[in-house]
Amino acid sequence: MKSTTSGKPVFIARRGGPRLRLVLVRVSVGLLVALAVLPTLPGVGDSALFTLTLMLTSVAVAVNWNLTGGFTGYVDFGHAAWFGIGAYTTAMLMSLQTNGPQIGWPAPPAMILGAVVAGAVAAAIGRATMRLKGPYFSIAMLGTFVAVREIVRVSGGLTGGGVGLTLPPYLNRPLFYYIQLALVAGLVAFTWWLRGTRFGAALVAIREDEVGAEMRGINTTRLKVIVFSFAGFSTGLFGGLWAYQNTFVDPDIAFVELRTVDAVMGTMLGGLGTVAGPVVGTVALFWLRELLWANLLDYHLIAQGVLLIVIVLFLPRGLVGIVDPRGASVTGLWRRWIGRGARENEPGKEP
Amino acid sequence: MKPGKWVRIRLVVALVTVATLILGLAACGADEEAPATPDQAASGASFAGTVRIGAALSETGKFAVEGRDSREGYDTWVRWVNEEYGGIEIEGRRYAAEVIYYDDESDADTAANLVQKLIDEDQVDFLLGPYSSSLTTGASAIAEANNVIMVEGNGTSDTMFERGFRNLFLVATIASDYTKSTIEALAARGARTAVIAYEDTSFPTAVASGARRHLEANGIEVLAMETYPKDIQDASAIMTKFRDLDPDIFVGGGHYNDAVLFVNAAKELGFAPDGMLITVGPSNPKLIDELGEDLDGVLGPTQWESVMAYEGPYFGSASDYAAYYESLWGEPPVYQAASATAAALALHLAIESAGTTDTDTVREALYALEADTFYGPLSFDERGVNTSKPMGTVQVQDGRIRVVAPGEAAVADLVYPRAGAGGGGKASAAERVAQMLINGIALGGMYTLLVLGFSIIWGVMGVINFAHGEFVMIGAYMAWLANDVWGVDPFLTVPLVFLVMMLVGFGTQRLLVNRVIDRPHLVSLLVMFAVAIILQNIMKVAFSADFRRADTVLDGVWQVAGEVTVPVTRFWILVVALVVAGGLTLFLSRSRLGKSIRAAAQNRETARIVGIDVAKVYAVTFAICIGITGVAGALVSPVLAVQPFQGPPLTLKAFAITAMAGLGSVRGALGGAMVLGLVEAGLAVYIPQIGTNLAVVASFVLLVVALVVRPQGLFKGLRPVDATAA
Repeated sequence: MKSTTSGKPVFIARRGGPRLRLVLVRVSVGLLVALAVLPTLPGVGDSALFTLTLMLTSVAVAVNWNLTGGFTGYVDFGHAAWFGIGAYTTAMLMSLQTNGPQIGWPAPPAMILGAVVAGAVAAAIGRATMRLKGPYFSIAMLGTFVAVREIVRVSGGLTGGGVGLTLPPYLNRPLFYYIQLALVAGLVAFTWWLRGTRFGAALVAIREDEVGAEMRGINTTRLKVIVFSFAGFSTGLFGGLWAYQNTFVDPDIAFVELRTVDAVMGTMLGGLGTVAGPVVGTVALFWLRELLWANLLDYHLIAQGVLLIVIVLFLPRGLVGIVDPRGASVTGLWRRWIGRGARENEPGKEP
Repeated sequence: MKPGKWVRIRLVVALVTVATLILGLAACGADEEAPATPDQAASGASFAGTVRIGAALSETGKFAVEGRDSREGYDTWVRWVNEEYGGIEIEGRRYAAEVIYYDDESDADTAANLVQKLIDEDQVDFLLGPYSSSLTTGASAIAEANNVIMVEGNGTSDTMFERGFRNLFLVATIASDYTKSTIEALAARGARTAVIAYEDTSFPTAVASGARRHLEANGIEVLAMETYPKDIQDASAIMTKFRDLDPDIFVGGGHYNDAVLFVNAAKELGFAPDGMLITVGPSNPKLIDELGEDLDGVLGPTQWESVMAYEGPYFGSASDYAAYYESLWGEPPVYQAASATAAALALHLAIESAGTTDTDTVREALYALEADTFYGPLSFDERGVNTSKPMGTVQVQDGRIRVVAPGEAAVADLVYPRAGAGGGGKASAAERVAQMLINGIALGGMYTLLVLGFSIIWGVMGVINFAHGEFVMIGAYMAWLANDVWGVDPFLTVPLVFLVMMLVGFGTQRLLVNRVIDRPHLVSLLVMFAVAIILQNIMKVAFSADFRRADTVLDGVWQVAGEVTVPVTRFWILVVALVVAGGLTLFLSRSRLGKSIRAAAQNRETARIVGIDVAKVYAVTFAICIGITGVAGALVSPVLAVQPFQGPPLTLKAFAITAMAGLGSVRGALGGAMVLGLVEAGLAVYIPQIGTNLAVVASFVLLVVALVVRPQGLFKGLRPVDATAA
């Protein structure tokens, strides 16, 4: 632990006490087992698995977004670009469409190469844009996202241009479900582990006080770019998986702003800069959206906007913040709910 | 601020939110059993069974209107088959038809998921298509993998039919043949040269590449082919380029809204080719309401019109079908509805001739099908595409939609060249440069007006107004409304818009911005982003997502020299921009309030110590800036399309210009806007084919270069730019 200038303690590697940790591990393992046996239950068909697979995809994107947006405080407004690059690389390698490159690779190497390409592009772009801070970085990434989509659109010979590319359909829902479940479980476990390492502590140090971190000998630029390109790699992998299941990519469905918005909203709702936050928040968001879609139709986006304001103003530490071990007492919860006491440790707060 | 009161407000808001969520949950539980109830056959008693058919259609989202039309088309067939025809006849027994619908939310993932659900859980025998190519592409792959036949009429992109699917059938004309009959008719009337502009998305690209093929096959030279991005607001750069080429015909297209942009820009720039073919829009009566006589003579393809001379044993003639449809739904059918009915009818006929619902037998029956219907002839080639039905061509004549081609369906003669055609001519290199500079400066003037409010808010209070473009949009809607209802010129609405938007700005600042001003950047960014979403969707619910346009008397062009023209509306916007910029500079440097604003921007604490009410200064600044932003919106309403989602690109441009030029710097806003305007105009004129697309990303490239080269900003503003970390 270290102190900020105001003298209040700031949690660096907060993973609760040993008892809480045990509870969390048990809950997580239980949840995982439940999700693993789910497809064998009667009444759970392909369409239910498909829904869950889409949700797992969103969870993964939010977890990856949180690595830079939550841990280092670099809010990436163009994260969906990595998803699109992964999806498109996979499609370009696999598609046999007449106006595409017609390479015809099998799926596994295509998806892995798609993730590698996404990670490499993220590394190259991150080296330039991660010099910028705060809103400048955010908007530069939004610009990158728009630019990448436009490049994909005008490179017709490689990407099929605006028409897009179709992939050979292979629709094995349970297989994709298990692959994604395993990947998401691994990703969350990895983030949890990372949070406890010196590397993870250094990432949070960048968020809290980048100059200070640098003075303590942390090579902040290197760290930022590493975590940024890992996030790009991982999101790109899920992009490839999505493309294969969707059997079709075009610039407007592979590069969707909403994917970034969902990652930001899910993470904010769950708890920015926490391990469980993006998972809890994205699942809650899916559930909320089902309610909103079902009952509000055209008004649902208005409701979603109001919800975002409510989260930001009243739940700055997210759902996870409510059950945080520090705030387990009723008064702590109460203070957090009315917004006092939550602000001091709000992620991204400038000193 | 009184903390006690603030806490109470938070509490109330929190409680209301929780209550809403709980109520929402309860409502959801109650609704569980009602995801789209199919129209049950009224006279079900005499049927031997039911043929179950499933369809995912858009009830919400961007395809909500077309989705509803398609659904009404399918339901027309259901009603007809069960009530009039007496049920589907399979080996002498009659079966009722039932279609199960789900709302795909205009989203490809959801549509695919719902088709999966229809197959697994509802165990439908057959599928009908969703609306749009991008949704059908994903959905048809699911149908193919599960060996369920899907017949559709509203997803026409060619790529879907290159996949070798055996279960996908299209009754409508495929996208690449959309322009065939029109181009043949124009070639017969002596057209020799053409230009093409198309949106770079799936369906328009397929239409445009087909158009190029048909043009060349008919001996018409294609002088230029230009793409433009989906969220384009202004087609004038493309039209300037085309005017220089002086083609006989213009072929343009994307979606309905693009027709508004093309006709606008052509009028604004004095581009009047002999023939204008716009691929989507002219067949829709709504467009005539919007554009009036400017649309006269414009041609458009149509899948089907009720005046066409088609008929068959089912539903009778095209006009009989239209009458039956209107008796059910109270409005005449658009072609999307007729295509949907025809798709269902094709499936119906194949089931009857197969005498079973077995997939393989029905598939063979579909391939063997040959029928004349109200929709035209139906028969499928080996891809599953109906190639026997030609595309029709309509022309707007004296404010009415007339079918002019192909010959067998025509009810009027093609007017070519269209009235008022002429003008244009090849420009010299010097004239092109001059025109480019004029366009760039005019664009820069617009950007200046659009960016000032954003820049000063950021400079004074450090808030990045992510809803900036939405305030522009609201100003534009106010001007459009005044123009549409009372015929007031947008330039005359300026004082009123300024006052109203000042109040809106004041309220927003007091209610929301003031509360996040001391929080991290992310918080204010997200709050304003949420405001943007809310405003967009309120306007969408109120006015629909259709593009609108206000009319001003200050329109047209001034011929300066040779082929060089000055767009009149943009000239006056530039004048207003310069006046506002000058006035703001004087206000900030001379007036007492202006000095307080600068003081609060430079050092808030010191300003407070010397007796400046900073909160009030912030509120006033916000009000003035939103007022200016609203005025900008009102003035661009005749130039840029007025629509709920016009804001985000403007916000991004404002951000790029401000961060590049200096926060809160009036001179910086002017300089940055001019640079961006000139770069965009230059790219659009000098880069062939993809110039307009590159102009979209130009602002970001400029921003990143400027930040990397000169992180402190190009001009000295009210607040240092300070963009680099550590």
